[in-house]
Amino acid sequence: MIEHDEARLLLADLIVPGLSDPGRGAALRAHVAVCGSCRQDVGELQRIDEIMREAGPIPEPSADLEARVLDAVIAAARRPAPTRLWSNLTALRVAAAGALTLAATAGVAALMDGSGGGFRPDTSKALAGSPDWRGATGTLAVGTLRGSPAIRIELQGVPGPATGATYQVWVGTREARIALGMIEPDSAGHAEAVLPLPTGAVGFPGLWVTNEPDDGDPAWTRDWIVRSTA
Amino acid sequence: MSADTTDGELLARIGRGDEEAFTLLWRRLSGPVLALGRRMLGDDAAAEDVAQDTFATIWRAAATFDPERGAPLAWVFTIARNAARDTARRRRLTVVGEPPELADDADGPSEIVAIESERFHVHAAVASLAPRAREVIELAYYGGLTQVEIAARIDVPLGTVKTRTRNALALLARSLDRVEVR
Repeated sequence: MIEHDEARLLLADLIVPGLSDPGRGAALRAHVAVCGSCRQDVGELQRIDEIMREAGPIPEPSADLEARVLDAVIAAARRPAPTRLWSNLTALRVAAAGALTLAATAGVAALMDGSGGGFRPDTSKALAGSPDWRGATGTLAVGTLRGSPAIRIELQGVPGPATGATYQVWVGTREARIALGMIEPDSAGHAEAVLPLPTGAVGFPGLWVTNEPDDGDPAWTRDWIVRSTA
Repeated sequence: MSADTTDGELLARIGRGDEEAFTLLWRRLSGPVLALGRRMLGDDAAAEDVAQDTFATIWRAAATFDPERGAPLAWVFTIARNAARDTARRRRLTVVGEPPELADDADGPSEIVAIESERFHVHAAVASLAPRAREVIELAYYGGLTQVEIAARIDVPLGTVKTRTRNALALLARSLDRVEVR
């Protein structure tokens, strides 16, 4: 016989070959056969054993990768804090379609204080970067600003727009969308914006940040930098 | 700050811009994130992109981590999985086990996510073991050595190797209790 307290320390012996001391295996198995708690623990150990074999070894990151990550991330943190966007809220691009169109104006008016303070996120998700804008990433949070629907967008790895171009934020669908305004990264490729959401755009199915010529044309180029995965 | 500092404490410090905490979390979780990237994408270079993007996001977003909404490892797992999917799009790779038409689906097949979450949590638990415990586990599982061979390899008594193995496996089993799939 083997006591429970001793048995529970030896349960791995039933999983790993060569772990059990001679003569103890039979007594351990006999205990487990009548002990529900130990049977459950053995089940977990079996699962660990399976996962260890399936998952394979843990790779060691190369020194080069470690240097890249630590240097890039920490160097970025030591740069001056990014400036807020909305430095140039000129043309509001409104797409042609639907009820979403007219609601945009109210959103822009609310933006004019230029501050994202007070934004309260409810949900957050990563934005997908375009293959054509390698390194561009972003996050989208949906929540409220002073009690009204709003979104917060944060971009990383996005170079500043070329001369005569701007980056536009759109919500809606590919067929019917509104432009919420422009977003402008700082020299570190970082941008952050809190945008009031027009009533007609609440629950929007998709979001894009696109590269657009700064010509007031309400059409979009579809040269997207990041987009939501919805 | 030490090896005993929890992942949640590290994230809280990172959220305040603590570079030492970030380095410690990198040393602790970069291997499991790389392994996840390799499994999902089947490509070592792409897995490095996943690790880089994951930790860039952690640095940027740690201040938003809310422990009341989920466990730290589950949060990191979600970031890493999203980074893998984004990397797959950029490099035009297929995420292993996911049909291409699901590439835009934020969740993917739940059973695949659950399995990967378990593997990630167990790898993270292995990476957090004390060095001596991790050594015997890795020699047993990845080195293919018997307990006797491990004792000879690291030059410690067989009984000590067995005790370390049993204790390590018990710790790893507890990591399954912390698995969350979001």
